[in-house]
Amino acid sequence: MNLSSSSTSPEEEAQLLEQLRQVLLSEDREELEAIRAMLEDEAQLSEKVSPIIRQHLAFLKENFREEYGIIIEEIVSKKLSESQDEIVNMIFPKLNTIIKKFITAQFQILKEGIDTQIKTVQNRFSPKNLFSRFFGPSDSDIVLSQLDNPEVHEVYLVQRESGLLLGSYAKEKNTDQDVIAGMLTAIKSFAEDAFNRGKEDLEMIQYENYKIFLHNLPSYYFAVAMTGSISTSEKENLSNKLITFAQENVPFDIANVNSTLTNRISTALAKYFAHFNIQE
Amino acid sequence: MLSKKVILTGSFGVGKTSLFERFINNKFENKYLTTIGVKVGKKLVNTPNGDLSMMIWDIAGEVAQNKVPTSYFLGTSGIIYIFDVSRPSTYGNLVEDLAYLKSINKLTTIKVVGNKKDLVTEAELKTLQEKISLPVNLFTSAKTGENVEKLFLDFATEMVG
Ligand SMILES: Nc1nc2c(ncn2[C@@H]2O[C@H](COP(=O)(O)OP(=O)(O)OP(=O)(O)O)[C@@H](O)[C@H]2O)c(=O)[nH]1
Ligand SMILES: [Mg+2]
Repeated sequence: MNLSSSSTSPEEEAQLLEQLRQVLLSEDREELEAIRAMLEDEAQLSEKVSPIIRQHLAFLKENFREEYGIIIEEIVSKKLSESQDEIVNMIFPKLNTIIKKFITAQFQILKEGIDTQIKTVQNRFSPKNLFSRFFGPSDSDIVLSQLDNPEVHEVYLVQRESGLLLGSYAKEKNTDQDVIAGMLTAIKSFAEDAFNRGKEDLEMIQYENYKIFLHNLPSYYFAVAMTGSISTSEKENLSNKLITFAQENVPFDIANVNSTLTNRISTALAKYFAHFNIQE
Repeated sequence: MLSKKVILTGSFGVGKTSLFERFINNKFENKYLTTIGVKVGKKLVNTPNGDLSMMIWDIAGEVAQNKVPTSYFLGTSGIIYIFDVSRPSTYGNLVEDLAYLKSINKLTTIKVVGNKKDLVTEAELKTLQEKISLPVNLFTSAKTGENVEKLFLDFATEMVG
């Protein structure tokens, strides 16, 4: 190579320069090629880049609140304040029932807890047991029972298949009792048919703050409309009372339902339930 | 006084609720509000054989009777099967439906009633009666009230007697 020769033409010079470049830069070029190949090949690229992205994602996951929390909070609270009226209108009607239901349910839980406590206390010989024997129930018991005292409002005895009323008792006079008996039977039949094809009996219907307990016997059933919370032991008391009533007052086989029969059963029901204390 | 359960059944829109309302409250509504579930009503009926407290179940119409929950028919003293004389599809299943109803409650009396009599002429009624192989017990109109009282009163008399 004769670079210094002044006799070379410009073309030759360019060629020579190129040759020189190749010699000097061949290593760099190879590296460049490799990088280009890596960039163009997705699999290779992702192998390199993924760990970095993953790391960033992990960081975001950990630190999202600090990094973006404020922005999102701002958006949400802005949206909320813009649609405040809408939300209030939506929630308000529901709230009332939800609160009522919640309180009732809480009382139920509370009462059941107290029930079991009393039971364990009474099984032992304890100062508290003695105390309550002499001084009656504790203040808290009284307060509780007055707040959400279970109360029997109406009792119906209904022939199972026909839905005909066999007798009834109501605290306040109610003229539509045979219609109610029919409707209850229809609801009961519908629910039993739809949900378990008659294998199991419907045991309770809840309507607003009323609970209607259904106690089923082979050819008739009792429906007891109550308010308040009823503990398991109180429910048991009620069931026992109903069974005793049936044994003493209801004929085993009823072919025809007539007013002589229903009047007799209603009178007996009133005697049983006018002063019925479910806690005893 | 005796109490008995009677059930009104048939396809939808034939006028079960209208007959129920006409008989119990002497009212008629032109608007069609389909029945959901069951409505139970009561009417005291004085018959030559004695008084009866009729508990009437007005149920949701079904195109075929085997779609009605079976338990509705239990303990029923009478079934009134209603069709609409102006809509042939409502008596197309009459034979199968009646056979089905008899099979699930053998002791019950079944009445077949063609309602909306006011929508057809006497001649059309005759042709219809000939077309249907089974006898129709009564043609009624809940709208004009024609034969509604008679339908329930005759049935009540039979049930008490
Ligand atoms: N012209 C006329 N219209 C009637 C008569 N009876 C009922 N209708 C009308 O027919 C429509 C249906 O009547 P409904 O009594 O609701 O029928 P339904 O059998 O109870 O229907 P579902 O409850 O859906 O099974 C209503 O628009 C009534 O006004 C009648 O005798 N004559
Ligand atoms: Mg209807």
